[in-house]
Amino acid sequence: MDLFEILKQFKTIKPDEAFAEKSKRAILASLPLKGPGIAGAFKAQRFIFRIIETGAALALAGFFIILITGVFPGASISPVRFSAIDPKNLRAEAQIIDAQINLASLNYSEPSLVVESTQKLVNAISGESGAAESSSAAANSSSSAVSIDQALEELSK
Amino acid sequence: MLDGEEKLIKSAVGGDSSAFGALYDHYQPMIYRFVLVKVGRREEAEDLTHQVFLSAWQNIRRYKNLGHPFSSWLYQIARNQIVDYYRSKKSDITLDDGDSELFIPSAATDPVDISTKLAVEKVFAALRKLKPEYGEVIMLRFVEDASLRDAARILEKTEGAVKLMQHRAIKELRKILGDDTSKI
Repeated sequence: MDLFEILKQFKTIKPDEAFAEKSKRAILASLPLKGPGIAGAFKAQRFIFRIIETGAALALAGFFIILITGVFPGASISPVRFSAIDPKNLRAEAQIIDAQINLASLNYSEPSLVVESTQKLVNAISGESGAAESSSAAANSSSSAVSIDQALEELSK
Repeated sequence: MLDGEEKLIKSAVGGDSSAFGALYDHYQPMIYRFVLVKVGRREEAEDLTHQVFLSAWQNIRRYKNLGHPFSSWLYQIARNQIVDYYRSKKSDITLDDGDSELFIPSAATDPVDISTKLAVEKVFAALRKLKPEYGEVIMLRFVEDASLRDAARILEKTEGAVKLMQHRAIKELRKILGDDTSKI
């Protein structure tokens, strides 16, 4: 007899009929388990909620870390620069202001300086020590009258 | 495949116990034979078959028709049950257990003569000596006439692998039988 024919004879093997009937009754007496209906939907909802919850917790933790350290990891963020408070501009402006102050002081101090220099020149020209007092008196009297132009003219002579 | 099987499955998935009863009647002997070759003992094969169908009925709502026959789902459950059975019984099983209480297919005695019955017994004993996957492929392909595709699906292998496996299984079976199958 061929092996495959013998194997076909295996189909005649069946369980005991009494057992089959008893087993069937026992199985069908039980109820099938509930499928993925409402319970499944709840599970999915809970799963999504947990993902959101975890995400929010991580985001908050990250935010507080940044807040505490003041550093954004992986990003080099320099402070905002305002042109108004730029040190170079400030320095330049300060220099301009100083120059203006000097010029202003120059204007104020110009007559006295000129008078002093004129007096020195006059003293040098006259060469007389005795006449220094009279000339100084004259200078004092003329300081108010002698202008710069006149002094220069005198010098040129 | 059972006539109107799709309708029966749909009804069973909907909780219709009579529809599942019809499926049980059709597929129970097939699952029983599959399990019997694996465990070798009638009582245990009956218990496991019961467990397979109980599990199938309890989980019927989870069944999804993916284009595979309903039997492949049952075979999957059966395979899992057998694995669990061997896992739990590991300490009790000895090498002699399989041979000492070999099941003699009583049903084979009714319609066929005594020589056929003896031949079936001999091949059955040889099948039990094969690798488990060889026994499975022989049962599916040559006893239950499962297609290559279905057998591949049940055994979780490719069709090519099943082809190769069935060739080796038959070769091995012939070797165990002593190349005298023509005489039995």
